[in-house]
Amino acid sequence: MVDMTVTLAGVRLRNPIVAASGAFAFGREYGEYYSLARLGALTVKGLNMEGGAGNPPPRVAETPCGMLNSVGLQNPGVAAFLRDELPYLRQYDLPVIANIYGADASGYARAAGALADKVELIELNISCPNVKQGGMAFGAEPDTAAEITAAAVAEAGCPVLVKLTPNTAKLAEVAKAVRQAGAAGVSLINTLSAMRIDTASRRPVLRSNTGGLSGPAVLPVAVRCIHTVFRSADMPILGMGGVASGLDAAELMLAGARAVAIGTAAFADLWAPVRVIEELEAYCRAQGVARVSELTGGVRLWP
Amino acid sequence: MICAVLSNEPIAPGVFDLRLDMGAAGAEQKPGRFLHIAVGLTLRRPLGLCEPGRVVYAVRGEGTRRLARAKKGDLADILGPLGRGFPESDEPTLLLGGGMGAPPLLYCSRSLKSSAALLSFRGQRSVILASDFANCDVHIGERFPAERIGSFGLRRVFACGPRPMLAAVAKECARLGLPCFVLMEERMACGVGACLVCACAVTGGGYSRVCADGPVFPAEQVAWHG
Repeated sequence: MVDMTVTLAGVRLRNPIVAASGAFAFGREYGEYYSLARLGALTVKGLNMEGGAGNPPPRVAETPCGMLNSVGLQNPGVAAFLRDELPYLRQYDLPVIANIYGADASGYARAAGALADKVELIELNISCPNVKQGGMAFGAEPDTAAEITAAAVAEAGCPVLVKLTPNTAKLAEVAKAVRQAGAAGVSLINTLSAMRIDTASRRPVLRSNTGGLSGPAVLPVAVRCIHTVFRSADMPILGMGGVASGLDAAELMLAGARAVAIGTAAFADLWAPVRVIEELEAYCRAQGVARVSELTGGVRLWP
Repeated sequence: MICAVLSNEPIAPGVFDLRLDMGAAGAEQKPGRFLHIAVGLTLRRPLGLCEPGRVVYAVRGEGTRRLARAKKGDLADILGPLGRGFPESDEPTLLLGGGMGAPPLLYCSRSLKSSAALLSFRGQRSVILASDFANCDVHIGERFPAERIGSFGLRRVFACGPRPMLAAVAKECARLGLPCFVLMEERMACGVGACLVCACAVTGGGYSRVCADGPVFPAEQVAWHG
């Protein structure tokens, strides 16, 4: 038997596999197919106080080994989430991570305050490539990332993760800045800003012209970013980016992640999170690993 | 669900007729619902049911190119049937199809006691399925002849086809006071209503999910210029 439990920013998860924000809405749709209690945790769709309509379609474009999306943070708002969606999730023994965003630091603070002690973790989205505000402009610079983190941490009644963008040359500095501002950990990576053009019409495939790249194409970028932050900032990491198998999840953990989120892989395989848990456990058995948490940061770098 | 391919043959240039052994999923198949078919890429491909265990699709890109290579006896990885189909009440109905909009309407024609169909195609070579409908007019041309809707004397319309055609049909049905249901097409990812990429702008603001709230919508709910 492998001990699959991990601790992420002070929260105990039954296994390290987490549903990523945006891919799983508020859990209902996937709950029709398997018990959500099998997951380590579930991150809900990005929320703000006001709610949002999102971007016009097309919002998705396939790419070699991945996809672009530009949903634009469509969501019903924090109040509707608490009233209509959270009670559904509470029927499961499952830590809930609320992903939040705002137009400025006070927007993040208000959303964090409204969710306060009602969820196990809050994940600040300062890295969405698809919105003008509440997006990666905040996450690319250490100062603004720290300002937003401090404002949200002051209002949140639970540990706060900060979701970082790979679209910055200052990843390590941003991670250190949010740690000093009170973040209990970081999530990375958000999608990579990207674009596709239909050659017949010469129009971008996405109605908003650009979107965020996810899927297997970004896995190596995630591994590198996670390892950079693991080595430089010494803080709990929820890793994500293109994970589709147990070995992919092991790779992110070896790079430094304590837990691993799955998003895009669930589109081709609805059962991907459940399958990845089993595959990760099999990898641990094959490697003679007694506790999956031993994998974190276990990469043996070349000298 | 893994099911066997029974056949996958071309019926027009670039158009294939895929038949699957769906087994126990038979009861969940309804006109207007779709199958979400794995093609070995990041995303599945949503294809509307043409009849139980049957989809008719055009090769449009890498995904459908891969699907077109499937042979009898191959195994297909199917999610579904998914989505909300056409209303099930058995009223006399006019079926309006544009191009690849015809296949889901054939399924409707099988379950409706009384219906007529008006199918429009860009050219004679692209005509599909017309002889399978019980009572069918075929129009050849670039533009769907929405002005003919009233001449059929039927009190309800189901439509499927390119968006400009559906918009014209919705406008004409509104003018005539006919209830009209349209099958919308959009690029999808999850197919079950979670990821919100297959957005359809709706009247009153915001978006509905084509995969889970549709793909069939009352025409007046769609914001045609949204």
